[in-house]
Amino acid sequence: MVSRRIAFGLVVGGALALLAQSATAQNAAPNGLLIRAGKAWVAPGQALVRASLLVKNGKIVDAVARPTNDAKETFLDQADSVRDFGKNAVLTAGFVDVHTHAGSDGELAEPVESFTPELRASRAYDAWASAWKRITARGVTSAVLAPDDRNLAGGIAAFVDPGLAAGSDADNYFKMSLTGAALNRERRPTSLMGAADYLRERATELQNLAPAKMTPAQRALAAVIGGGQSVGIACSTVREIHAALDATTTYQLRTFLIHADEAEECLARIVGAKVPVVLRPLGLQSSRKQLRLPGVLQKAGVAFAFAGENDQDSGLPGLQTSLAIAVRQGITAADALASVTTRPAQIAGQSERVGTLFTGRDADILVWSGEPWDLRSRLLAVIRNGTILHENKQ
Amino acid sequence: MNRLLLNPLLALFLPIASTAAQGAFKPDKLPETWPEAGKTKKAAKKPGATKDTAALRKLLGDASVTLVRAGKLFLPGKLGKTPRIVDGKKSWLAYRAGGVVGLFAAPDQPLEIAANEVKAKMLDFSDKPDSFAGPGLCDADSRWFVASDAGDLSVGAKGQLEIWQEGWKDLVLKSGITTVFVPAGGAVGTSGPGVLVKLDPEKGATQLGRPGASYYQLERLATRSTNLTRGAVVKSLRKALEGAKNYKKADEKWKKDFEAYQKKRKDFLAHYKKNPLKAGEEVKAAPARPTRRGRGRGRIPRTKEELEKMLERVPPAMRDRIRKQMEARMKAAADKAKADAAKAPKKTGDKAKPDDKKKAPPRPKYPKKPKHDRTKEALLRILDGKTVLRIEAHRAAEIKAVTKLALEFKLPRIVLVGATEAFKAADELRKAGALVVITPQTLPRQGMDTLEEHFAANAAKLAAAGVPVAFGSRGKEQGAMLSLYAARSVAHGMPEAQALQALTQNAIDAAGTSKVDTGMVVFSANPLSPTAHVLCLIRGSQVVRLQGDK
Amino acid sequence: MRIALALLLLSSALAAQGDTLVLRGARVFTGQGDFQKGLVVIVKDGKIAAIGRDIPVPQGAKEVDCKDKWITPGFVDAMTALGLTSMNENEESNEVTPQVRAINAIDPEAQNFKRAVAGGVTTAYIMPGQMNVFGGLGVVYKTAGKSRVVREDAGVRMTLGQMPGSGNRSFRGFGGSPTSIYYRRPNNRMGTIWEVRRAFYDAMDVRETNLGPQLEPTAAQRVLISALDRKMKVRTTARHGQDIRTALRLAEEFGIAVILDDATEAYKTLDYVVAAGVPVVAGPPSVQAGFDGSTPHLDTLALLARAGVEVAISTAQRPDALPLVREAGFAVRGGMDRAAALAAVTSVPAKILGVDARVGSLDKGKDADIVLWSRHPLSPYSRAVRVWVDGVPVTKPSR
Repeated sequence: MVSRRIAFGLVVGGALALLAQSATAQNAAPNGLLIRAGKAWVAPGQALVRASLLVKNGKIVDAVARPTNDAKETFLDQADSVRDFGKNAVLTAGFVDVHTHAGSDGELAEPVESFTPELRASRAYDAWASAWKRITARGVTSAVLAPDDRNLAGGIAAFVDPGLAAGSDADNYFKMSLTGAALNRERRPTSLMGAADYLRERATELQNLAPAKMTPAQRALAAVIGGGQSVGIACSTVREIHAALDATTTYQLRTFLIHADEAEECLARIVGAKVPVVLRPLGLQSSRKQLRLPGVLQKAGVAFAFAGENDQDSGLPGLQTSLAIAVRQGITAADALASVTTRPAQIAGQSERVGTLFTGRDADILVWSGEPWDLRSRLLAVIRNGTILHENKQ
Repeated sequence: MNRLLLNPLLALFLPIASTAAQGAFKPDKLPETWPEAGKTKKAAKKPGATKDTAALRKLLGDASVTLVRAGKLFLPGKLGKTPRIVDGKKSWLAYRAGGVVGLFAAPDQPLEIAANEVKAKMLDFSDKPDSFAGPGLCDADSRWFVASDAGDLSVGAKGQLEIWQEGWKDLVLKSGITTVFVPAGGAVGTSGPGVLVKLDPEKGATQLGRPGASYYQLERLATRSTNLTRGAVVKSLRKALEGAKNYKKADEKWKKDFEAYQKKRKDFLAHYKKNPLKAGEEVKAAPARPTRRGRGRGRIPRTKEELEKMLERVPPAMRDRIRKQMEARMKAAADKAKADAAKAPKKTGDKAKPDDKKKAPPRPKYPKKPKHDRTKEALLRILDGKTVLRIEAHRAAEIKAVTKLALEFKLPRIVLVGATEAFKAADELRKAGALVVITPQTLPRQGMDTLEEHFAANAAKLAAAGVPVAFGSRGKEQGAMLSLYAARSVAHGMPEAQALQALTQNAIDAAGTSKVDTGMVVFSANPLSPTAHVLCLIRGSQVVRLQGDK
Repeated sequence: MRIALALLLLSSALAAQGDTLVLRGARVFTGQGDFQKGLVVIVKDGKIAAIGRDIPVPQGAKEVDCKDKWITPGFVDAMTALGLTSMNENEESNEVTPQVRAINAIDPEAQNFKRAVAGGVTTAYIMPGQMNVFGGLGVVYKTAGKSRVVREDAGVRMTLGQMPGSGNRSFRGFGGSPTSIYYRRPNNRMGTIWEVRRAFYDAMDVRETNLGPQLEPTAAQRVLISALDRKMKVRTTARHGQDIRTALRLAEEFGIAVILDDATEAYKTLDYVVAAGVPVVAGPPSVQAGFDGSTPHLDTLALLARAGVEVAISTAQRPDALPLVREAGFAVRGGMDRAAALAAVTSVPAKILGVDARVGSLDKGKDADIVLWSRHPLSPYSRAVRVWVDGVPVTKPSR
């Protein structure tokens, strides 16, 4: 059976491995959903032509290329419902937005004090906010709700499942900010030097302090020093990027940079530090510098992802726009797709769950009317954990 | 002469499939409706085969012509006409400096022509099935060349631009934009005309001589405005147009007077040529204009009737006193006139030819010209349809008010810029013949209704209602993204041909100058696709190939 | 042409790493004395391998023709805000922040570094601004090259006079929130000195009482304690005559090692400065308007040098200062000896900053920070033709 599929299917890249796994999942009860489309980007750069995806219990059980002569054969015995989106439809994994403040109306900072690492964004996550509906309708199926840039250490970001009221709101990375927004003229610190000093002071406090005696804030900080939990540092200018990378080496942090607008000017340092970068979304109002940046980072081998940030309505479809503009700026399509799926999933530490359509991953599937990086393509359906959340008429 | 039956070059002119049109070589002129290449035309319209061959010969023999073939060819239609995307395998697009000459389907008969007679450049990209050729794109609202410290270009963009600015070449090469329109504008109210700038990768940027569309801003989004203030701005626009209309009337009257003056002057000169003046003789002066007789109390009536009329306006109690005063003054004036006449020196020769003198025409008076008003002149250009009025308005109420004005003053075309709520006034816009430039300012603002994915959805809704749209970036490099925004409108239901029309001809029309050579661009793919890059730029007789871009 | 230049630069940069450079034919100023003819400088591995007359030249060495040119050590600017956003870069949440480090806010790619290099300055002392009583720790930093930090925490800034008080408010809730951090002392000159003394006395208390791990000195106090132990130099900004005297009094009272910064009115208090034997990092002599209402004199530098005070010329974070080499020229115009003026921008500031083992003079084993001038550097027509930092050319070669 399996060998016959290989004989018929056109298999690209690592899909071969998937097929080997698929044999194990065949004896389950037929309660699955079978999704068919013209093509599936199982992972960026790995396409299945005439793809069939079997989804059960919210997970992807199998993904194969259909044989050309008898399209009805594959998985039919295991699926009780079939959705065929036609030969032009393209499947991708759901987008992952690794840095968003959506649906929280500016509640994601406690600006009286600049150092509030004990705060948890998950406690401000409103799964029912209308913003999440809009975001999901634009293809984001997993997001990290992050404290905003107004605090030196704003708190712990939350990995959330927008669209699922009973979804995850697990703690994710530790959010820091060295941008001008975090330097408040009416509290400490007021300067970048002061921010470094403040951090040093807090880190020094932790020395020789038993974990039992730590305050929640100290526990949160202790969890990141030495490279435990990952740290997202918002920084924009060259000096802020240097300061972020200085802190990374001093405290041995597992850092990724957020924004990094002037990354081009200190590219060597970022390459040397081997940190990923989460960029602002691209749009018609992006500056020349921002437009250039993805290409520059790709050339230098720096991993980058796009984030939705405030998800302000730019009049266009969120991350898909960044994807299209990045491709227009010369990024390969696979790399651009990775920057909204696999890479943000890796940064959030969730690549075992989301970002690809491999077997065993969450069934977060986007159905497009064409290639996702072409703005002419529309989202036909958003599938979240195996259920169709949004569907647009063709 | 060495005549060849099948020159390798001309093999390209052979139809690919046998189903191709019979003798379908049809030179056609822009901007009329385009025949779809490869389809049989109606027999009645089909020109004779000999004529076709002759036209083709002429075209091939013209060194200034460039013939382009690619996977797909795009032909913009002039406003209102349907733009088309045609299969490039069976047709050629002919271009020469000044614009696209036409679309030519391949003839089904091999053409006999000498190799040395073929002078036109021929660019064939049809081996790349994705390739796409069409006119260069235009950013309908660009901020290129605006000096960073210029602030508002409220007196017009011309002469204010830093045309030497660099950095746009990247934009041209990457996105196929060959023309940008830089509007004036800033403060609420009228501003001067904008400028179309041609971008040429080899010759640099040049401003188009003709003034472009004039700008009028109803609302500044940065500042707060209310229904009433915006209404007042509409009213002031109406007043300005009214003023221009009156100015035109006065001007017309002057023209009439001037004609009469010229005629009189001719007679006058003719008379004195015939009867040269003798020594001491003088030209008959023009009849004196009625002298200014003062106003109010100082005015002296000339006749009794006039005096009575004047006294009607005086309180009855004062009439007698004033009548006496006035009669005294009238008498004094009459006496003075008599004395002056007596004092005047007697002219010699008066006795000689008194009859001749009577016949001599008086020196004609030059009619008084209305005061030259540049603002009104500029507005007149709009009323005369020489250029268009670009109005930035966002709210449906204002858009509707503006369309009413356009109908009232019979403006042939108005251009709405921004137009956030235009989708709510699509019918009015269509009836008023408006064109809408979608800019980032089209983004939702407080108190305005918006659509999901507003930028694209607004454009698509307008296009569906038959309102032509164009796209403007309000930026510099950001213009490179315009085609992607047009692509999103396609996702919302705008036909691809119309989206391309919005990026080309509509943008030029929105600039207020109808026919502009935007050159030709060959893309690696449909420009609406993000993977498209420019393979080749054709400007005038220049062909710039861009290789190794990707 | 540009490509050719870039290639030339690249090739010379490559050469500099492995090869040996021989600078021959120029008049050389080693950091002291006058220009000498006939000296040959040999650079190897970013250091000066040898300097002298008739010294053996290693095989394969690359000759640099320096005929009719003038060589000096890379200049040292002992008081700058290079790479910081402004000269008033301060942590303003507290008046006493001796522990904050300027190095945390430096933008190594900043344009003013490139201008400094073009003017022959290869080492700079970068320190926080003047809006705090204790502004923070400065760093000795190269203006170009790969490893830029020469000495961290090379001094702590203390500012006397009106400036530290100028941002503070004396009214609660007047033009700001009632809980503003700016409602605090000091608001005037006396208050500033009160803050200095309080901080030092608190630090002494902590040092002497030694209350155990529960009451360890704060980071700020640790810096002040090392100043009290004379391990850390106190860079004291004092412009007015009375501020200079105050600085000297405080030095005596707490036994701290003071370096007088700016010292605009040092001509008024010359005797005190000479008697105290403290070094002075003077401000730019070309600037005619003193900070904080002080009155500069052109001959201050000459007076100090003649009186035997160890004096360096700096641009003193002034945005209106000329390039350092021109400021040295102004010092000469004010009556300073030429050799002394050149020493005041090379070896003397290096000694004051405690980095004379590496920079500020041309000597065997020191960093190969070398400037090749088109003329005598103090000539108004002189130009830095080439600049090497750690033996690597960092400017485009020009004629």
